[in-house]
Amino acid sequence: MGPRGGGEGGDGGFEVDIEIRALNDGEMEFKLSGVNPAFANALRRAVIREVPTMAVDEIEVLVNDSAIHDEIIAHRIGMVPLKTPLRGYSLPEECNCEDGKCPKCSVTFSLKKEGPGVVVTGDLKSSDENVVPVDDSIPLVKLEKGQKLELLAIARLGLGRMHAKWQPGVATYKYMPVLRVDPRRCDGCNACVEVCPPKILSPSNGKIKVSDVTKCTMCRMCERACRREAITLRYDDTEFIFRIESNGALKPEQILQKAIKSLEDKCKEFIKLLDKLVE
Amino acid sequence: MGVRPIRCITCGKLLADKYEEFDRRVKSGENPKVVLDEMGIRRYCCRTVMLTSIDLTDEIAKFKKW
Repeated sequence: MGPRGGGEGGDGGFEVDIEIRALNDGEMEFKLSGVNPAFANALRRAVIREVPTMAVDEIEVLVNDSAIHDEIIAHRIGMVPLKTPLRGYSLPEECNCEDGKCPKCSVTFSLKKEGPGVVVTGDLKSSDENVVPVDDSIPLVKLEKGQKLELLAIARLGLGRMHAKWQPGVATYKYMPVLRVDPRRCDGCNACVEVCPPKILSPSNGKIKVSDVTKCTMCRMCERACRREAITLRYDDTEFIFRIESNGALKPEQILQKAIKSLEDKCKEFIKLLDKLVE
Repeated sequence: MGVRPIRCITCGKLLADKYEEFDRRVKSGENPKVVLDEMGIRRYCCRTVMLTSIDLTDEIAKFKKW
């Protein structure tokens, strides 16, 4: 580890390590170490661009008496995240069918409702019980008395790079903060304790103790507050705190798995093309 | 647009399932900051959407011509 280590080990290879810090159905946080910022960013972009998820892609409005235009209803339904099974569906581009409407690459939803009332995602009847909206209570349209809404929606697999509705979630990372307090210079004035926004500094025996450095926001308020230049904030660009926040379509660990798989496939494809060139 | 967005306009986080609880709690006098924090809405993009979006569907419905 160095201030600009770049992540390469002594033998020129990567010594990658992942340490899961938190994991639940919606979120995942892990420490990714032994890689350089380029790799961490490639992973982040793979998560938001290359993970296939389901979203409504085409809509056929049969009856719409509501005050909301067809296009806005279509956009709203498209934005609803759908639970996506890992297997069983293929991307429409890779499917053998011609129109992209076969059961191998599409799921059909039907909706029929008469007002008064609010049309919610729970009213969408899916042709596959595994592909359903992540939440049944999302309001889509409000219908007045006597107004009708009837439509067919076709959901397909897609990638985040085509439209944001296919993004499986949000991925972020930050460099590991390295916060050092020089005990010889620190006179225990506690000026830094007061100004730290995440409150990770605390006084201990007339000096300063750092509790959880991963919560540091790198704002450097502590450095500025210190009159004796006892506190220094650096970052380690070979260690990252990586967060994946799922919108419910896939589990965060599935998102990570799919993202890494897509990176691997891209590299393999690249090697194949290079081999062809060399021959 | 008139209807409150389903996802955060900037980051894409699902917000439509959270308006009901948020509105109810803020209306009952809780501090919006505390409610947002407790509901796990961390980023300022999502917080802006939660705080500033208005449901105008009833207003629009008045102008619907049959």
